[in-house]
Amino acid sequence: MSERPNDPRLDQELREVLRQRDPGAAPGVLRSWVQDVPQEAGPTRSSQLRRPLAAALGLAAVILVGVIGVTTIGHIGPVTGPGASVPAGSAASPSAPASPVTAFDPTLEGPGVSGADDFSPAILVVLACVVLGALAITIRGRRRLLPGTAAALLAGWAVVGTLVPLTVDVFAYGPGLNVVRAPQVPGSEEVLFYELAPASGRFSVGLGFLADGPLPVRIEGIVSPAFDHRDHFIGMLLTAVWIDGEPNGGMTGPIRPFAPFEIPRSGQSVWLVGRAGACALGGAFDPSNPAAVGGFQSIESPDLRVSVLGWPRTVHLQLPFRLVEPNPGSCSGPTPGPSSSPPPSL
Amino acid sequence: MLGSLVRKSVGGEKTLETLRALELRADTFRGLVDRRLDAAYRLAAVILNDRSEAEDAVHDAAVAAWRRFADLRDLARFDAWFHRILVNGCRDRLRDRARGRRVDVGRELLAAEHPQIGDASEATAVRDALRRALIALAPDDQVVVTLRFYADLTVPGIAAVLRIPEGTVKSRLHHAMGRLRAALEGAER
Repeated sequence: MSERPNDPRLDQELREVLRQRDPGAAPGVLRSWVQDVPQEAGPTRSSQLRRPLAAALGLAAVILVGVIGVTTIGHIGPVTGPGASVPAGSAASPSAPASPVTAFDPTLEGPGVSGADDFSPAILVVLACVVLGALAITIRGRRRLLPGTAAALLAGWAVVGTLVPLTVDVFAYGPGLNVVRAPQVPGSEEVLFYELAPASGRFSVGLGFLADGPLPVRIEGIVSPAFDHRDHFIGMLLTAVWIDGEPNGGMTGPIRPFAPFEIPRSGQSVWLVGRAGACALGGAFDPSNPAAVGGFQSIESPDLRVSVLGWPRTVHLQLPFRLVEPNPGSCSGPTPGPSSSPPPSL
Repeated sequence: MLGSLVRKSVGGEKTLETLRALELRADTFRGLVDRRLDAAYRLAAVILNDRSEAEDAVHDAAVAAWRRFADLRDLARFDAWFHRILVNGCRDRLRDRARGRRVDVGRELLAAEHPQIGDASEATAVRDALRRALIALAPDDQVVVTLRFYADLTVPGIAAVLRIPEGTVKSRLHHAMGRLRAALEGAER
């Protein structure tokens, strides 16, 4: 501004023009108006309440964000790699997830199956966004950016976690303990497994999971509504999930109790362990003559509880085989299984 | 009187101590504003170039300041705080005026670039040209020029009052001075 030769003149003339606008002291009427401002305007409610309101909203926001963090921290915690092998032969209860001294024992119940779906953090996130938004309105200045940004991040997390497309496919499967594959019927593509465990005995099947989606998918467990009533339920029931430790997703590695895991790109195999129904025929069933039994009970494809970026979701797991349990048709048990059907057409 | 208004505004359950505290706060506010009143009125009048509107601007600023007075933690910062409220209020009024008088502003700009021949002296012609050019500036530029050449604020001081980056202040000053310089040189020819 000062490098031009006529700038001193401009400076001087500009100051003079502005000085000519100066009216001098404030008129008395203005002084009187301003003195009356406290009476006429009155301290507004918002002015009196803003600070305690902001403090209360801030505390509520911190609590809500904390609760969301606590409820989802389990979904985004460290993941046990599928290669974390288990020394075989050392028996222990699988009730301790991912215990390094627990060997696979399909006769034991273990973690991985739950009856009810987990509580969704959606309501908490909506509440937190509302509280953070109110907090941003209440406080002034650039500090309002903090709750505004936090609300935007929470909403973004919820939207991505809820809407990001994902599928979990079964790329491999096989019969395990007390399960045999039925002879393939010519012309039929259905794969049929007979569960031949004795009444209330254990069985297992192996599954290889492969996830398809833009974000990592974490398996949190299997949802089985009957699991909550397992003490009184006499039908075929899933009771535990075990993880196969083979690094390439195969089914020949050391096996350890279920703990939430991220599905690797090469896939991950697990073993579903179940309890046979109280009316199961077990070894008395002859697979070569399936029409000789009274009926079959089948287990439905379960739902998988998964999480994406810590946001819990449920996806239906379509089993590529049908698992059926032969029964004598009439049973003295208190209730029948979840579904009972005549012998499959073989 | 204040007591009745306070009771009306907060539900009539205030204790005597609270009323006294509010009256003390009102007295403090009155004292602080009164001390700043002349300077505030003069600055508003210079920015707005209108004494009547300056009175309104100062009154509005006082009302806004009183409503937020309870949030002001440090009374030593009152002057700067009130100054900021006033200047922002004046800037908003200039913006409203510019929106409502777009055609007139254009005419004034033309007049600034082509001063009338009938001016009595060169000095008068130059100041007339500057006055018109000043009015024709964008509202934000008018405020910056006034704060710089009337209130004698530095670039950081203007940035602090308007809460804008110093680079923006420099840019606005540069742009405004270019327009004013052109008006000055046109009047001198």
